[in-house]
Amino acid sequence: MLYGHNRGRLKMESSKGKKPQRGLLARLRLAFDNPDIEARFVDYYVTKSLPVTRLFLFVGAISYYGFFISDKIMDPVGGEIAHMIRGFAVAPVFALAAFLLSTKIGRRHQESLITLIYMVAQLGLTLVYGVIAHGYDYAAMGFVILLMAANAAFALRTPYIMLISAFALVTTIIGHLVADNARPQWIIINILAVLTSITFSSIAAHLRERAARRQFLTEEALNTARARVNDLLHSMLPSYVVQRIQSGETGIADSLGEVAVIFANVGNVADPNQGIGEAQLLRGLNQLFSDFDREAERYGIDKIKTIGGTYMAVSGLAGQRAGEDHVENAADFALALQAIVARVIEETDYPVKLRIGMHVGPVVAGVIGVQRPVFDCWGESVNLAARLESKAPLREILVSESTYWRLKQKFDVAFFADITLKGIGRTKSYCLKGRHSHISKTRAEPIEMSIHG
Amino acid sequence: MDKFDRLLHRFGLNFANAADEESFTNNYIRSATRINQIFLFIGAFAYASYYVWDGIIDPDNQQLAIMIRIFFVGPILLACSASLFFKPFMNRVESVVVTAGISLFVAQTWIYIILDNGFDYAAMGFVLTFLAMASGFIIRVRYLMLLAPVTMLTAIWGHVYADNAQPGWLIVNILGIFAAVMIGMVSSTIRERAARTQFMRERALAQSTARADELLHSILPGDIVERIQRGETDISDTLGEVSIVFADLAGFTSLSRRLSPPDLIRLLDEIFSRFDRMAQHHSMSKICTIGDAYMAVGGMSRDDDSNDHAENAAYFALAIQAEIQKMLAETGYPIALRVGLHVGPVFTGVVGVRQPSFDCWGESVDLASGLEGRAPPGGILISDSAYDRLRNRFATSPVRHIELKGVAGRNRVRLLLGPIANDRYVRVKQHAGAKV
Repeated sequence: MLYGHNRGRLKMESSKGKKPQRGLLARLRLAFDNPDIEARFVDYYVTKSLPVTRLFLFVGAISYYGFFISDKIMDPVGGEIAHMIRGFAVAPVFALAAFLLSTKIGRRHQESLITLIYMVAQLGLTLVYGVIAHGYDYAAMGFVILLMAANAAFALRTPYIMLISAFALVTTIIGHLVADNARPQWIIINILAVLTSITFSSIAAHLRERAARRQFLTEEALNTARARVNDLLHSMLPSYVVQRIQSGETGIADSLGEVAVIFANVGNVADPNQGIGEAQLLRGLNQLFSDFDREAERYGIDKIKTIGGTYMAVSGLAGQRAGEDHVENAADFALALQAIVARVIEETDYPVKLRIGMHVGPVVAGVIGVQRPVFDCWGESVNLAARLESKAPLREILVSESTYWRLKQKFDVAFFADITLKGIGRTKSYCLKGRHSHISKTRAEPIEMSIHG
Repeated sequence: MDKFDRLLHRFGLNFANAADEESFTNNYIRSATRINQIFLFIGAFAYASYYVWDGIIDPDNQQLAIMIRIFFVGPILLACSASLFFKPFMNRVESVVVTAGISLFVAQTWIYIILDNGFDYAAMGFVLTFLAMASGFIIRVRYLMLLAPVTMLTAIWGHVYADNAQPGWLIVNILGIFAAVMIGMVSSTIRERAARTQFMRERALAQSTARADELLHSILPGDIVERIQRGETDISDTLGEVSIVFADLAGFTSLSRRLSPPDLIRLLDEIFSRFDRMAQHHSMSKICTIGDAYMAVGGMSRDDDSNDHAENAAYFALAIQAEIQKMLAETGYPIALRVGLHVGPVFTGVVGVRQPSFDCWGESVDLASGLEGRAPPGGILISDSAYDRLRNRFATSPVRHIELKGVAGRNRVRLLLGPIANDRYVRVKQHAGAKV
């Protein structure tokens, strides 16, 4: 997903000319080869058109009934029977269909339902022109309008259009022959008119369905692409920054008073003296860093980046998590990294090095680059944490004085040494050993204590 | 946007942005030119063949009707079709189609006036013609809106003028033709709206895809992206010899105390974007920025056969120093750049699953970083191996032996001063001096 392996998958599976052996009929059908994709397309094309379908059913029922005016002008006597056919036989079917479309079964078979309504309406018209004097002299107009209306108003796939077209032609011919109320050559006019409208409505429906299929593929591809952009942004920037960028903010730069900056170095991974293949080393590093990532997520800490074998993370960027302290979280995180490395050493016997430096202080955090956004933190606190990491004894967590004061209540923090840091000068440093044994890690205890208190 | 455009906009038939509308029209109409042309051509013959109807309705006047179909409509439709081979007409394909449509309705009216009892049967002709116009031709609804009144008015005028229909038949005709006009408009509206949605969606897709690729390429080098997309996992390479440049802004931390965060970040953004351009110009791959430090490597690309990555790296180092000098003059901020350059083997690969990043490891990286740490502000410190590659073309200071952070023992280092005499240096200076 992140890298877009799947790009073009949908396109490949679309019906466009991928299988030359397919017959004309199959190609006219347009359907996607993959039944799952076809089902999603039906949902997109047909099911989503339900409100429009309902509206046109309503308009269609009224129009269909309204044409009794034409019938009466053509033949006042026969028109009365035609009026009955339109009003009492066909219009109720429209109403029934509209009702069925509000049920689950009706919705699932929307296209079949529409096809059936069309057939009932067309049969009705065949009867109407049968009872009107010289009805089949004028029948073509009614058939043409009904057919074109059905094709224009409803989202039907090609097989249904074909069914409707064939039905129109057959009923026209049979109706004409049975009613026998037209001049003899008139059958040519009727057939010609219905064939013309079949041609045009099929072309229109075909173009419409093809456009809809292309649209459907584009939409799926668009969703994939958007998700990919989102994934990529999330892989590059902390979530809170992504949210701010997506809400249109630019020039993100925050001055933060107190965050905890952590540098964890696992040593020079490409140390040639270890006698391990480089690909294997990289796999190990990957594994180690993804374990680190998991702990970072657990403690609500933002990974900034990895630089060679150094993992840089910051706690407290996006405000506090409810009921938690970001500096304590950072300390717990550092201890968790220590535990991970200890476990890896135990399991593999590979002497993974680890040095951690941590400092609490102000930083400037922000995004540089709009086209190529990079999130980073700047300031003395970052340098100090990095220098502490470089001075840390093997597999120890070296913290600054400000960190010591923030943690000493709940954590075991021992004085390490007065050290001289480049660019900063002489400063006290401390080793973070663990949580005080009498204060449990669980957050339930302070509440219990307060009850007793 | 005038009133008519606003009305269209309400029905989703017009883009609010004029540039979008123009680009959509070009796209939609250009793709439709051939279809419209073919339909005009076929239409000329199809329309003529409907003389069969005329003969059935009124055999006596059939001859005259055939003349209208063949000698009036035929040439107009064929001329319209042929005109679409020429650019000025191609650009006005919708007007061409409307012209053909008007000629059809005029002919239609004419024929039904001539035929005995013609307007008893006229509705069907008008209905079919309008629906054919609406569904066969690809024109925007605004043009179909011109044809709709033409259809209604010619039919009504002809009916009243000819007065050859049964009484009351006017209503039958109007009802039928009106229904057809409405159906045609609805189907055209649906089609045009779909085309507009599709147009915008395709544009959004192109943007999103480009954005995703851009983002991906901004975290990983291009050939690595290709390898991952081909399905390769665990990407790691050992490169025998690359040139590594580390650059760090001295004085930036103290600057960070004095500048407001947005100003600070803007400044850094400006500096690094200039570095990016320099890197591209000198065929260097940017690996990452670490706070105020910038790391780039030359000779990374497997496609790049040229062996002068050391030279490229040297020119790059000189160029970014020149760039910082220029920025110093422009802004007055007390910043200076320390640069370290080393040539040696590295091990590269992609680390991180959810947050992939491309990186280099190895002693060479530590050495380059150490050189940067000991470089004087404004200076470029190079290692012995870099000196070997550059000695013939670049001037350096005498060798010094110093200890470097993270590297065992004493190292022979020199300051890179500049190219000895080379026209490329002039180019570098010009590039650095060019207003970007």
